[in-house]
Amino acid sequence: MIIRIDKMAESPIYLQIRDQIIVAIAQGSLLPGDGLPSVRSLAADLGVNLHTVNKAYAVLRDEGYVIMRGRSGAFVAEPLREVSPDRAVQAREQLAERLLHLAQEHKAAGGSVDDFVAEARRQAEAVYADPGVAGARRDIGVLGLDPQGERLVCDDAVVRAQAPGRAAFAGESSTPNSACAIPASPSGAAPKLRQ
Amino acid sequence: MGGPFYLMGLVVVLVALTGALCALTPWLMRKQECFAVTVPESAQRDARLVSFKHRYTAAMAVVTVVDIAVMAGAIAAAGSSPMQSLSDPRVASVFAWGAVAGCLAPAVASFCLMLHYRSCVQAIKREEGWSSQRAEAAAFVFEGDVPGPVSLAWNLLYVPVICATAAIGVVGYPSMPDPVPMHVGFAGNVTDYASKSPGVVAFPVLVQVFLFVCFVFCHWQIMRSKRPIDPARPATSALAYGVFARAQSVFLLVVGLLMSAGIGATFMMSSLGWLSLGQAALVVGVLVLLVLVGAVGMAVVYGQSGARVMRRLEESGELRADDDEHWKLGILYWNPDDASVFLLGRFGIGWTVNLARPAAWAMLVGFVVLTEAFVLGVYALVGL
Repeated sequence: MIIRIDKMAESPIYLQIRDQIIVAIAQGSLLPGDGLPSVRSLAADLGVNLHTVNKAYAVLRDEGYVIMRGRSGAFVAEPLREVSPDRAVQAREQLAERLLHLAQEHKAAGGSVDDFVAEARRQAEAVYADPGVAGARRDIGVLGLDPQGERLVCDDAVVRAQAPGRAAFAGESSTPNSACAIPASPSGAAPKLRQ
Repeated sequence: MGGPFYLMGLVVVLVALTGALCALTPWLMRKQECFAVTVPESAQRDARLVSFKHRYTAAMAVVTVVDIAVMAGAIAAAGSSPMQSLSDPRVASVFAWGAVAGCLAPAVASFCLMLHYRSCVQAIKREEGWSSQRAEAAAFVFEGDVPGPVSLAWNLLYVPVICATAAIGVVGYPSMPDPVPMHVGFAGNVTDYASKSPGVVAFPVLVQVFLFVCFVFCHWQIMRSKRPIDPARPATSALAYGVFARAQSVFLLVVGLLMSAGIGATFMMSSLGWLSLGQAALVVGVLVLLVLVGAVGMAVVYGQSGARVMRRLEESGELRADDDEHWKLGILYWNPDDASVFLLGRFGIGWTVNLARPAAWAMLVGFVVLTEAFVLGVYALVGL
């Protein structure tokens, strides 16, 4: 699983990292118990400051998506709703609060109730219809691309835009053998990215 | 003409290989770079850039050929002069410094030519307005089956090599000559002796331990390196880099084992009187030659960062990131906002450090201190 950020985008880098890890969890590309890279190695790979990745992980931990275990690093947490009834209630409250804000904004902008509910349903269905790659066999996916696989999506619409865009790398399995086969198959991964 | 002249011949072949590697360098780099300048991939077909690369390669070929001719001429002149003149320490030291200068000439020329063509490419880049509105970066969050460097545990293979060398020393110590030849001049005459002592036998083992530390450090550096992923084709470039890093770490391991076994065993045998120092040096020279041939092969097959593993992919015309401002003189990386200490170099095959990280300086200083300590320790031990 590969995440992408744009250091020149308006959205802060730590939020871009957070959003993409949440997408990976939603799609089943990251499963509960999976280790995330260490702060140092993710910061090095992305070429950003240690504090930036630290902040992203801290936000993910506070939101309950990730657990931190001292030196052994960060792991994807069990889904909040499955941990305990208390956490389930908490998660429901968080959802209600966010929906409240969105509804208020929608109303302030002159939208109708039906539009709001219809759009919410459409987005939720898109997310849940995405089968993901949960299971022992995983494909390399590329997060943060728009449905055409062209550009980074850097606003808070990442989750919405991702659902259809996920097909970008379907079928490209990441076994070591396929790595060796790259030169032999120019029609492989990258051209699909740039249809 | 004795053993040392074959050795000088070997040095000439080494220079030829180094020159060849330098001459090929622009063709082995990643497609987004040309003479250490970030350019769109499609610009690699630009006639001007192609002609810069041709001219660089031609110039490097000329430099290498001239260098080899001068060195070969010097060796021939020395071979026809009387042996006594070579035994003169002043002549010998001129010869030694000449050999060092001859060996370094291709690398120095390569750097200067790179700087020249770098400014040419920068001018074209400004003229064409190749710039990036974005600074994209990509990284693994879950690695799955992506290949990477081999485990550090493989370095345990050094243990039997070092133990075997020590065992040869222990077994051969009673039959060791006294004094032991320690240094040989160009004419094959022994210039330095040391009296027989356990320290003399320990010397080759110490060299092996020193090599072990250096090679393990390089391996660790590969493991800790920034994994450069091209945001335009993240999955493919991640796989290409993984294949490259794996091949490089295996190559490093093989080279380290060959060198430590070769150097340790031949030094040990020569101090036991089973080999002359000239023969020992010849064996090491042949090993170095094999390693350089291997390095050229690796460079051509994989390219920097696996660039040649995926060279058949179509090219993208846009720049997704441009970090030229952080590369000083084309090869020195200075970026305080980048957490990585080790990363791939910009011109040449292999890794470099982020000079804006104090850890990088600590490691450079640590390496110098370690080397000094090793040399002083050996002198103290052997009692020279």
